[in-house]
Amino acid sequence: MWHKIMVIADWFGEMRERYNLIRQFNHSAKQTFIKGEAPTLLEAKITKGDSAFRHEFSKFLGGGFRIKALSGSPLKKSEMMEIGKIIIDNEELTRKLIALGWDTLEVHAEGGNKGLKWALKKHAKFGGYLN
Amino acid sequence: MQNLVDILINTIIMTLFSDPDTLEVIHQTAASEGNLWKYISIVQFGIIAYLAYKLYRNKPKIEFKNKPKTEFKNIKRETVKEAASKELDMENVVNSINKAKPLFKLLSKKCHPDKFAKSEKHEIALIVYQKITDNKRNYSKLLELKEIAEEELDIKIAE
Repeated sequence: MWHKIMVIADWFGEMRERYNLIRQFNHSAKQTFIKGEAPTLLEAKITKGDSAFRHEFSKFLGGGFRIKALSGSPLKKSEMMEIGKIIIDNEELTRKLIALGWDTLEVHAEGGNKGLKWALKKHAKFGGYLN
Repeated sequence: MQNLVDILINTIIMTLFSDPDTLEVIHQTAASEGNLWKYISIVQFGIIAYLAYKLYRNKPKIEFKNKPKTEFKNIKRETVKEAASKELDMENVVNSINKAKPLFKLLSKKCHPDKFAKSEKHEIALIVYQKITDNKRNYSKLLELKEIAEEELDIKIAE
């Protein structure tokens, strides 16, 4: 009984962490855009993700971490690629995303139709994680 | 089915036109026919149940196309929890998206080891340059390396 309660509490804790991460990213992106340091306003949100990239910790219908350009100058493919690589190169962030149930990283241009995606599990750096 | 119809017709005819003794015999025949069908249906039910059981036992395991693989099988729960609750500098992530690339270009140009080829600082330049390339997408690390480069290599780097 207590175990089940703990599991439910953990689930709510994870959900809070997920939304905190999204909120923090959006806040930082908004601040840099307002200051004029960023030419494009970026927004992070939770999407369904790609089922081919699923792993053990994947959240059902919430495995996608999408960064989308909202306004400002439109993103080119090279810029989208760069954003994705920055997220993936950040080992701590990638691990956190995996641990919180994300499996797909998506970077989309302004329209929302064109974008790139990465399987987070391929970039988790297992050695580091296991140690 | 045809038999049952015949029996029913006979029963009706005999009820209407024959004496009570004959009627009793026909009733018995109909009852025995009914029993036969009952047994047949029971046997059929048994066969169906047996087949269903066999089907259930030998049910092929469905392989889901996108079934999650077990890459993270050996990771402890505590490790995952720790990773999930780790505080991150999200400002650095966003700054890296916007500012890391130009800073990396600047630093790699200014601190390139070829610039210090005939100098004593060549070794230091090599190490610094290596670190710069390793952290090319991390803005806060690049800022630290910029300070180190200015100190160690005696150069001024203006953004």
